Amino acid sequence: MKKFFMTILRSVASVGTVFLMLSLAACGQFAGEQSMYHADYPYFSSIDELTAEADLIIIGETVSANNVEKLKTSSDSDDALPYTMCEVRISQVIKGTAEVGEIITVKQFGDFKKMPDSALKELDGYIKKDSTNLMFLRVFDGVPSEPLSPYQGVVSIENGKLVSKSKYSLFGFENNESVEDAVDSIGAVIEIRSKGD
Amino acid sequence: MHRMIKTICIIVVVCLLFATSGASAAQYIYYDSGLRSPIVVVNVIDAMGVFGIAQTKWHNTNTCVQIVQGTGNDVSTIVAENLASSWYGCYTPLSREHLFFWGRAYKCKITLNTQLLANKSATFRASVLVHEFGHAFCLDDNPSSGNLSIMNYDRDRNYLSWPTTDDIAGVNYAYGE
Ligand SMILES: [Zn+2]
Repeated sequence: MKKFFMTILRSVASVGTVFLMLSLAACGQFAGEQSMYHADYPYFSSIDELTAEADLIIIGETVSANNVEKLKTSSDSDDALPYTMCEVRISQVIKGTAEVGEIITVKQFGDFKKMPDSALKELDGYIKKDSTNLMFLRVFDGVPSEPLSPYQGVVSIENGKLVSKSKYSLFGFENNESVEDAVDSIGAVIEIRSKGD
Repeated sequence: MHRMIKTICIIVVVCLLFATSGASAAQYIYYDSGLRSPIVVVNVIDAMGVFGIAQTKWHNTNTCVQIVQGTGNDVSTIVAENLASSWYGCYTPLSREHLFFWGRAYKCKITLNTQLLANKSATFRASVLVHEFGHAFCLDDNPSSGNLSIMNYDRDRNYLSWPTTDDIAGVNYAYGE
């Protein structure tokens, strides 16, 4: 009797485990992904390339975030695309024209809630209020600036160290460099480039 | 009782091995907002001169995908616009299968940003367009296999402009080849 009971129990446990596994797999398959933009951003293989491409390199604290607006960013069409905007108070200018203390608007592609950009969503990359970041920005005429890439254009600063979730980031992924060290290496690149000009 | 625990452990290990072997054999990432059909009808409004290249690169793969030109409300579109934005190209799924919010898409919009692409080579622009078609054919970004993939963010766009073996495997998985 006991043996029979154990056999039943064993069968139920086996079927249960397999069912659980299949259900987990099915959930992953059918849960579906929310609608997202999939944008293809520029990749930079070195600090030199990243620095050269940026119009503005700053360190700043985010004073407001998550302001979503549809912006007409095209000169060819009337289509407006959603962007998530934040305001950043500049604390240090490493490259480009800006003032310390100035507040600039930085845009990131997609509506962080309803229709985000997939890379920004995956990296939890929409800039958060009160965060301090090192930013490599592309500056546009009449439209807010934007990081060069979600993977490499924004590096957060925590306790004076650089931190990034992106494996492609040139700062703060494997080495949590100090801000001073990062600013020095960017500065060195700018100096070498200016001598070459 | 011990035998029962042992049996359960064996089943769990076998299930886990099965699950992880599938994941490591597949060097692509399935993207569930690709198109329902592997035959995409597309209205090419402007593809910066590389539509034919991208079409050929996909037609040369051992997959069932087809890219044909057409017009109308039900077709996908490719546009090129001068955008004050940081990206080269963008894939947007439209008309999703289930309640409009999720599932594969009936059509898509591919946008090329002329502001960033105007000075790039045809190979570079084709790499971007072939990548966006990759999303249309259910491939996600950054398969992180270490292998070449048109879906990798860090690919050399001046060189890699074709779907690789891993990409082809991903498309065949998505469309049941
Ligand atoms: Zn992509």
